Amino acid sequence: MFMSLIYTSLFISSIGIFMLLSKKHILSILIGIELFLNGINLFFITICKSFSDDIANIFILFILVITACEVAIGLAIFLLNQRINKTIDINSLDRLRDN
Amino acid sequence: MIEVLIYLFCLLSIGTALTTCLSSKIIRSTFFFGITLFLIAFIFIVVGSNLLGVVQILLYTGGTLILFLFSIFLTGDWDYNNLGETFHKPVSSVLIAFFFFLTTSYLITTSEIFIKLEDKFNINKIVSTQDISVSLFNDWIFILELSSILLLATIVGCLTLLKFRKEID
Repeated sequence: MFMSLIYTSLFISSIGIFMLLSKKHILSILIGIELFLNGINLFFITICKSFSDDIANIFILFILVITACEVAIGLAIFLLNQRINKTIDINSLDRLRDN
Repeated sequence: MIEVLIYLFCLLSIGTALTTCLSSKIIRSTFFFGITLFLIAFIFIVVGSNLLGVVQILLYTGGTLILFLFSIFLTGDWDYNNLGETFHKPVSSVLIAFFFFLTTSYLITTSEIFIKLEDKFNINKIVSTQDISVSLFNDWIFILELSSILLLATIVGCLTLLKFRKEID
């Protein structure tokens, strides 16, 4: 069961990496980052079951905070890009500097 | 019973994560992403980390999904030039993701540390919420304050972007 949880977490992280690299839609890229971090969380929680202390739970709480911040800022930039450049392409983000 | 549930949730979460990646429409992708987050939260609960499971469902899944859905609804016509359906350099992305999976799997299966961890693995260990909160407010208070400052900075950043958008209008 230990290895199945580990492989699940690695597989979900790999899917996140694939989404992060292959998609051009900003929301898909953000979802990819979320999937990657969720896989890492699952990895941490599996490792935590072999130790006596609960340090992984605290790490995961901090990861959740960082992820929430990243999503909030990412979506704000996404809305700004859509409003100014009328596109959701990730390659048009550099044009935000001109405005 | 618990083992069957864990295997079931693992398979389902992999399936929904794959569907999230391969869905043609971003709204479907977001929907399956939400299901993946729920399934991972169920795994947390089944393996004994009840606090994390509840936090994942209430704050993370709820908050993140609502943010994503609001973004999709606010942008209206969300598939500009079928952008959600296209893949940018899919072969190299698959290769990099596969390389990551193979490398980490190889390191984990051959590592003696992980073999020892597998022997010590105890599924019946329940993580106490009280222990986490005591540890959080004693040993990790500095990091907790830093994360609260980070959240505050995020609020200020989002408001700044919103103000900027209003000036553009």
